[in-house]
Amino acid sequence: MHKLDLIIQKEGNSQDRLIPILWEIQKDIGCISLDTQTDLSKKLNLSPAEIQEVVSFYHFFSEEYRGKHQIYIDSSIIADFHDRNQIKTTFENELKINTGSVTPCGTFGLFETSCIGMSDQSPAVLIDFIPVPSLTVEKVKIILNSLKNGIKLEEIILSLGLGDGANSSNYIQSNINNNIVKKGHFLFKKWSKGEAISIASQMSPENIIQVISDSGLKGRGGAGFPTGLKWKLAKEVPSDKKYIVCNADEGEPGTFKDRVLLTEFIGLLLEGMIIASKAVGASKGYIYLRGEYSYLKNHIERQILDFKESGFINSFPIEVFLGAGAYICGEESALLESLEGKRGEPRIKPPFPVEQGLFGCPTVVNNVETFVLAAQIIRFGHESFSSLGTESSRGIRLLSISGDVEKPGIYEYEWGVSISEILRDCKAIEPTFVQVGGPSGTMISNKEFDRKISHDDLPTGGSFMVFSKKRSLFDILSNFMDFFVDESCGNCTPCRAGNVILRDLLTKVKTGKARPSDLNKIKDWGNIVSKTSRCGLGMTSPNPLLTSLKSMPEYFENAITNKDENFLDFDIEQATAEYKEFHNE
Amino acid sequence: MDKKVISTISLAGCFGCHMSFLDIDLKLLELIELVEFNRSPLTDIKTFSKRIDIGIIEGGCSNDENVKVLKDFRKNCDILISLGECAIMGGLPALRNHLTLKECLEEAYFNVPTSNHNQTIPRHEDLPQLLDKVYPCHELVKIDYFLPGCPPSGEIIWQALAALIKNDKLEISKRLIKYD
Amino acid sequence: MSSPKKIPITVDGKKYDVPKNINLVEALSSQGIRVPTLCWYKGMDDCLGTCRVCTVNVNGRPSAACTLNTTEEMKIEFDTSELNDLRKSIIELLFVEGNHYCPSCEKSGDCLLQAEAQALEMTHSRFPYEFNHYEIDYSGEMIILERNRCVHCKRCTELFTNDDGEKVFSFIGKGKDTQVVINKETEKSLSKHKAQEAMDLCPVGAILVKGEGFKTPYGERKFEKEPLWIKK
Repeated sequence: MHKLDLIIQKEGNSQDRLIPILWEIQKDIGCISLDTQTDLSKKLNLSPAEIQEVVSFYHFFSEEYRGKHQIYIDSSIIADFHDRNQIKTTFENELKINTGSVTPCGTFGLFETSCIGMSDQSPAVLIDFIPVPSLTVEKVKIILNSLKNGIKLEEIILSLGLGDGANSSNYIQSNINNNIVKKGHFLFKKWSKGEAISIASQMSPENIIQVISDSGLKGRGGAGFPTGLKWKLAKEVPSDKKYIVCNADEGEPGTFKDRVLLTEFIGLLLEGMIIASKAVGASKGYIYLRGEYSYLKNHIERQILDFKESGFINSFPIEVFLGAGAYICGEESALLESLEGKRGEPRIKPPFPVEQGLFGCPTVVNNVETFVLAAQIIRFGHESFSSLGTESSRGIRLLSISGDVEKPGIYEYEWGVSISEILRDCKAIEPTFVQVGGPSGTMISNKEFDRKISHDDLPTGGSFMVFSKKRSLFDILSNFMDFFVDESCGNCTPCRAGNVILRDLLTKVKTGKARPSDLNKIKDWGNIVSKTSRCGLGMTSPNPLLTSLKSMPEYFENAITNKDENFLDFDIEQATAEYKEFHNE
Repeated sequence: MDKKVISTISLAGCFGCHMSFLDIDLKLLELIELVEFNRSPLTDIKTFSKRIDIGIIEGGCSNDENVKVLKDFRKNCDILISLGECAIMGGLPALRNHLTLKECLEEAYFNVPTSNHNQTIPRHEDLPQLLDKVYPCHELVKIDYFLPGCPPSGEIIWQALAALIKNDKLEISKRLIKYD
Repeated sequence: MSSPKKIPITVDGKKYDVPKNINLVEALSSQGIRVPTLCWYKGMDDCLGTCRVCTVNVNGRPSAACTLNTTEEMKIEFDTSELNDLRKSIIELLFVEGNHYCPSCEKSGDCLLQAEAQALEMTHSRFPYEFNHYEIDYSGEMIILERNRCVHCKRCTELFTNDDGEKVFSFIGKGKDTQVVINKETEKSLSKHKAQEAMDLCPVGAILVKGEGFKTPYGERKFEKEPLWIKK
């Protein structure tokens, strides 16, 4: 096949190029059929099964044809609460297909996907991997009609009106808005290109690490590992090759601050990575960009080129690597597997990536925000950062605020800010529950709004979802459990099988079939999954259930109407319906 | 001490567990001194005539009749035991759980070599109605104890009964646990 | 030859001296403490860490023992009611996720899942049985893939190759939909001996050699003669 040869010629034929190759095929042909996989396997010297292992792992890769125009509807809870169903129905009616299928002519495919990072402008969809936010029924009709008439997506987007800031630049051209609502005094200090790099160039690697350590900066992905220590550990491992990887796989539902950082702060991000490479002695950098943000790839590459032309990255090439739809790849070791062209399954730790990371070499994986903050710390000194925040949590934290608020968007806060202050700032509407840190974080009720954002009270990776009193707690929890069931990689037993069991148990409570003993089961079974799972996904997936049961037991107790433990709910009519139907009764 | 009252039933099972019950051999003589049997295939008594101390269920629920009987047992028994794999997890009858009823019935009545080619599948109001799948007993009612095995050995049955009759805590030796 | 350096570790409050930097399951086993395992077996180079049945507390944190090597002053909790229950619950999860009909399984009596369930005194699963549907793959030349029994341990996908060193089994899909598939090309070339090796590597009855099975009489099968819980 001529096309395949061209793609391979461009990307190279080693396994670590597999995902970029598969992306090109998926975008070009609309699917990666078994035949294509067989052809590809011969050219890459892999077995067809090895290709299938990878194709079948990622949400955006498909063996079946997904249509000339591939439409993915964001299925996050925030979208659910912003008339997602109406949008979905409009798509279905206009295209005359159900979600999960392709129109008979093959022009459109309609699917669902986890949060695409647009919770501040929900409901949103990806059309041909370009996000289109703030949808209305009218807009959907206009977009589909235009596409049907052969108008190019780029032109449609232009006609809908471009977003603010760099979103309207030549390299992005999107409808997305940044929605930066609260600018604090650290991150938003004016950037001056190359300043951080030039300061760092006067410093020794040890010095850089010392400053970062003294600042108290902790990783912003959620786990909160001290950044200075991570760099130090990677520096100390002797190796010819070391890597710096930026984790831009912002997959936690409700988070979108990295999207904005990548749009507006890409220069600072690159400076942070370059500084890290000097501290650690790394020779190559990667930005692992989630597939949902592929619309930012040109913009990032343009900046990289600009840095290269300015002579900032002579010996430290940075490559943008596109993920393909898998929440688990936000876990650093799964991300590295994915970068190597494999299924994104978390590795066994130890060894940690700082010892054996990408291709077995010492690797620093940090979140987008971490690199951006590191660059600012180098510019303004460690005290400018460590003097902010609390004892356990130094500095500032970006929050992505969404849900039932008048002003969704990005907020810069010092750590230690109280929930009630945040709710005031964003003009929350009758706030009743808040999910801090996304589905893997903590659900709190309005009785706990005096709690604070910090590593020793409410840690967070940045997601902050506000729910008003008209929202059903169980709808929220079901959405989260569906998410974890979909996103579990399937590697370990408790996460693969346990999340399904937890979801079923929740459904039992939600539908009024539970008994009092089922509430103990939620605690016990949640404990099993969180204690025995292999990686952070399973360790945290029971959190929404466990934390809401703890803080709002009355919601669960009220959902239990039948306390008779001897007789469980069994619908004999439903169970015999198939039999009666068979006998035409 | 009053004799404990025992009832047994086979739902969607093969009576193998009941056969195994009889495998406690000479202990049967001992048992009969300690208990009396009420509703059970062993006595051919069809209805409960008093409150039951220990009810033993063989087989899972495959039809509406099974469901009715199981609920009746729960109502009338203080302690309910799931005896054997079918009661515990559906057992071999549950092999049909991933097939549709149509597939099952057509296979059983039309496609097998021993079919009478009558091309009819019986349906009568007196015939129990099949459920969409075979259900383990504890998905319908609370089950107090589980004795695994296909069938469970006479020994495990004896050990369990001996403990329950004496109102002891039921502890089963590891060596008696098996699933086939 | 000098013996490897011994280091002290604590297990359930008792001190033991074990070789440094060896697999924790193996270290405990050398002290007469048998940790339940499904994906791990003695002598394997790299652990798989998939089943999590060997969960113990190490310095206060739950970890899969097979994924760790011994380090000095390791504090291990193993035989506590909570940990025993955690390990048992994982076995129970596997029993409801798959369809494990022991009475009709060729591997019954030789099955590690069954033997561990017995050792952990499982009488039933606390979780609702799911009765998921899995396709059985009969299309291989030598091998039947009985996916109802698969525990996703990845022994076959990670450790097994044909005589030419090529993979025969692969893991496809994600989450609850992951499944093992046979690579038709490489499977064809398997010798009977090699196919048997695959069947033996599988801890359960998911990989079967055509025409094999039910060979050993009841009462003489592997774990009947040597149950896992018998102290050696």
